[in-house]
Amino acid sequence: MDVAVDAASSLSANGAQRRLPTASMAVTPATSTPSASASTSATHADTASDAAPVVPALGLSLPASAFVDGYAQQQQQSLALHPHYHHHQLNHHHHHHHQQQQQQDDPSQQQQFRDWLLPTLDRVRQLSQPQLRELLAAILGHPSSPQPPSRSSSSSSSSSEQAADSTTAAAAADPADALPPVPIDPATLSHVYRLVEPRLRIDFISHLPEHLAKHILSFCDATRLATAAQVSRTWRDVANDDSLWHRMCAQHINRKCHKCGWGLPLIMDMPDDAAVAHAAATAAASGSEIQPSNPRTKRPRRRWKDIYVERLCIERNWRKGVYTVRKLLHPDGVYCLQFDDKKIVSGGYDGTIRIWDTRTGDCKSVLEGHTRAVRCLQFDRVKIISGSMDGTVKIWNIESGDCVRTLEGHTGGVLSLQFDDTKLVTGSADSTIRVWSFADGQCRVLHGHSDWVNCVRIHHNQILSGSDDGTIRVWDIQKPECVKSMEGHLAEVQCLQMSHGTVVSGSLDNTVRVWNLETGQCTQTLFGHTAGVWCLQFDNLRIVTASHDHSVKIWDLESGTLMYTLNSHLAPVNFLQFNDSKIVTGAEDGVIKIWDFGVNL
Amino acid sequence: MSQIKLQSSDGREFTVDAKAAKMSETIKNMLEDLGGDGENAIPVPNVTGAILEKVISYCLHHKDDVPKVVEEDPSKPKKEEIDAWDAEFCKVDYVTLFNIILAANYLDIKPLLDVTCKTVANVIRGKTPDEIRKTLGVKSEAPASAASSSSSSAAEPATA
Repeated sequence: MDVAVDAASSLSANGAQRRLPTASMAVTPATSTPSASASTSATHADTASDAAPVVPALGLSLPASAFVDGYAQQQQQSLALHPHYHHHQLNHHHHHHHQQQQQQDDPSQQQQFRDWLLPTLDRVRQLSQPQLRELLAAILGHPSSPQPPSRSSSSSSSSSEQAADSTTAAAAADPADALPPVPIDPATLSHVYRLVEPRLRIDFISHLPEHLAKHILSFCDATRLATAAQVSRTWRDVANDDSLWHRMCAQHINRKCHKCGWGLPLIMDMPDDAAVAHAAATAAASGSEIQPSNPRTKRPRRRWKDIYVERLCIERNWRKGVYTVRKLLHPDGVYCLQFDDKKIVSGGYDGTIRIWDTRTGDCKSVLEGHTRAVRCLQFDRVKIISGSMDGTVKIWNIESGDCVRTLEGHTGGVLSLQFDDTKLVTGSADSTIRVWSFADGQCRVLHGHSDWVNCVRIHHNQILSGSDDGTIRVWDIQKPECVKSMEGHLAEVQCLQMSHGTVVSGSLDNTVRVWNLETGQCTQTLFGHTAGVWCLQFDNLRIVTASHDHSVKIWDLESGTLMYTLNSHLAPVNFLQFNDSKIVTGAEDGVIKIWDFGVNL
Repeated sequence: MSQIKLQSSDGREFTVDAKAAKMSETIKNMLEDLGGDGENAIPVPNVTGAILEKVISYCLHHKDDVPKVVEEDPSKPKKEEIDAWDAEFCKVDYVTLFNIILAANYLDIKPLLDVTCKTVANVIRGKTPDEIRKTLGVKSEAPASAASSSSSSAAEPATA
């Protein structure tokens, strides 16, 4: 507490109520020499006449030696400033305590002190924040960093701006008019501090009109919103505002927020919320406000904050690798599968298609018809379409399990397929791609690949295909012909997916490559698997890959870094699909694993 | 008319560059509606002289800014950056800041409102609820425990 604080003598000498501590301050660390501190404090002055509005300088200096040297004199002067001092022995270390005691004991003195203090406080209130910081730092005995000289003048001018019609600020800088600084002892100041400091606080959120409070919070991220909700009831009501959290959802769900680096899953297998989350994402894209209401359900709509929190929990699980695993067994090995909230459909070496209950894990039905392994399948609400090494494509009624149609044409095994509302595309071991029209049953054949076509993907009017010839080809359905070929993989391309102009492919050269569809250039190669990559999927946040090295790896889409590896399969992993909370993988030994990240909700 | 007179609630008159004054939509509309003659001061009844002076200094500094027509995109986080001059401008005590926010709202000066609100938002940054209560002198009435548990789990993932 080696702090001596100087104030203009006029402050203590007369009419202290009218005298205001503001303007320039300089704080010198306690270790500085007396001469240095003298030069600092000499610049502080108060030149005000009694009639004019007053802006006295409050000079602060913290020289240890000066404090000792001038002790007696300082105390004399502080008596005038502080009415209680004549009651005390000037024992520095006990000032604080005594003064408190004295004040509580003596109401009239307390009153007297307040008469001086309260108007002073009004003006202290007008100090700029840097000035206040200095003042408080001095009071608390933590010298703030020394002020550069220019700062002193700028704070002086800014306080003069606040003090109405101040004409004295300029004069205050004139050394000729400088009055000797008068000390206020630390105990006084700490008392002032306790009285002043609360008056400098203001509860913005509770006291501003609600729309302004929300405007403030609209600049906060989720952390601060969540913290703000815990401050008080009023704060909670404002910080839990649905529109603020709607915005948070729009910023994070199904996209990566570039500010915090987090994106949250768009939960599509929770039918009640999927539409809601999708609405948020669409609303965000179109810039419009859509309230979370779902016409299909009568449930009371959920608060955006709850949705955000739920997604956040799932996303944390994804990042930390927190999940539960369940196992199903499709005898002889799994080649392909697809799942939704209710069922998993798997196709295997045994030529069957099995439908499982996602929740219970029971096998509900077995579809038999293919004579060789089922290599690919896809289902929608009414049908399952499967492709087999027997060279046929079968269409099944998903409810009854009956085979309603068999498409023949490929002269080799059907390795991959995808369909949309109007067409089915199949890739085959005969190196061709066939495009089947649902409307008229017409089939067109695309030639170009020189080896097995392992994967086909429909993207608007384009088809992407990956082949054992190591290339990825882009086909125009209208023409129909190959319009682009992307080469780079050193071995067979087994799997690929495309979204928003980005193509990700996996190959038996053990790598995953990321391509720019526009330029056809490979922008990134992901290394990590020690055997061929047989299946992959990516969404807006991550890439998941399955490999014959028995592992499943999860990569960050944006950076391409490996997040972690799921290692518990005991056989080559042939297939995977994931949604926002689950990964389902199928392996060569027939084990299907359901990795559920929606735990601990 | 290049100069406009404004009168604060406590009767102080300010002569202000018209362009600066028109940063306030409120004043701009008044001028258009009333066809101000430049002689009579326009009353700004909700703003004290000290605060009005601050606001005017902001407007003078920013009067030549190119107005940014920013499409509000809720999927993008709002920009939090505050430029150096504005940051210095906002280095005032909280009570003053509070009053500037009110004035910016009343006078409808969007950039000033934004920058002051951002400043407050930055005050909250990195603080615990208790620190926020202390810093801003919030009357502590603890919110219901259910809300606080859900809130804590909503803390930004970056800290996870």
